[in-house]
Amino acid sequence: MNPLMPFHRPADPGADWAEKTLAPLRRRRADVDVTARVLRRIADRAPLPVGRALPERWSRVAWAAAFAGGFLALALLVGTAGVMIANGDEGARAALALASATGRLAVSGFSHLTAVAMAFGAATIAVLKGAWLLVEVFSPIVRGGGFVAAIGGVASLGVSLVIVSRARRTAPAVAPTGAMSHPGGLA
Amino acid sequence: MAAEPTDLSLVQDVLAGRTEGFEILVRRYQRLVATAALRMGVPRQEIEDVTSEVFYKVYRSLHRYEPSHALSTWLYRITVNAALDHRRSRRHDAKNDEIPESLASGGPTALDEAGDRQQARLLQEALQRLPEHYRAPLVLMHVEGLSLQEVGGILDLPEGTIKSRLFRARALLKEIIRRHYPDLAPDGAFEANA
Repeated sequence: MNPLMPFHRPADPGADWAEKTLAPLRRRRADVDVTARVLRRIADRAPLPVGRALPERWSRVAWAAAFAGGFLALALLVGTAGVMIANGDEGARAALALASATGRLAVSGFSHLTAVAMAFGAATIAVLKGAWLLVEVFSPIVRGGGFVAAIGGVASLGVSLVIVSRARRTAPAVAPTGAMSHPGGLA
Repeated sequence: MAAEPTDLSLVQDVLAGRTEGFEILVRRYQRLVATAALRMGVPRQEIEDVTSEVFYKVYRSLHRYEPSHALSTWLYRITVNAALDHRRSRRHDAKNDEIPESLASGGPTALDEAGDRQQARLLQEALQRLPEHYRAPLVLMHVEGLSLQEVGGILDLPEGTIKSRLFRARALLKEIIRRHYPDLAPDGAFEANA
């Protein structure tokens, strides 16, 4: 791009320019025969491409029919089970007993799990309370320690300031030429 | 003599399980695919690989072909993507590009041909300096000779976008040629700028 005008966008030279410039590329041809190679590869690896089995409209009809069929099957199952229970069928009674036992087992298991969770929660609360008590007991000590540390920091700053100011008073002065002169005039 | 089966009928044959139709399609379009890949910058020694890969992809996704577009448009789209993927994966340097075979063979015709090949090679180098989204429309329009509408169909872009990319691509290519390949410029192309 133009270094004098870095944001200058070059103008479009036009389609004719491009046609003329790219002409050598247009004369390039590739003549290959990959038929055998492609067919061999397809035969080796690819399954047959799957065409659309049904038109779109028929797909919708098939979907609706499958849904209705499923609903009917469910209704039939529920109806048959109802009739069997009403007639006091032995198998139905056994199935009901099994379902009821499973339900009781589930309720009992759930109540046990709830009891364990509650015990765990109570233990956690007790531990947290203990920890809070410890914090309350030790907080004056921690506060005192913090106060002492702060005073120590301030004192350290003061001492540093005193040392630096004394050092500046007694330090030899340096001229721009590099010559040094001592404040006491002994140098 | 029996009429040639149409592309659509061949596609339908293949989808119905008669794979002989695919052989006809490969024979019919392999030169178009190979030439487009070559012009998109795939080195000549790898053209067969890319071409067979394109047809393999075509076979695998033939059920997605929309008959509202010409089969050649769809093939161009797959070829352009395959060529760009190939360039991205290989990141060819100049050493991998083909060397003109006829440079040493002598004779005025051979020399002309060698010069043309050398120019084409340099043009490929120049085109590789363009960003992909500029290179593809430029090659499809000005090398493959497709219409604006066809290029838009292949790249799945509106015509306005293709137009603006073409403007920018030509301007950038001219700048690249001016800076790096001045011998490629058509006679007097830069006189106005000098």
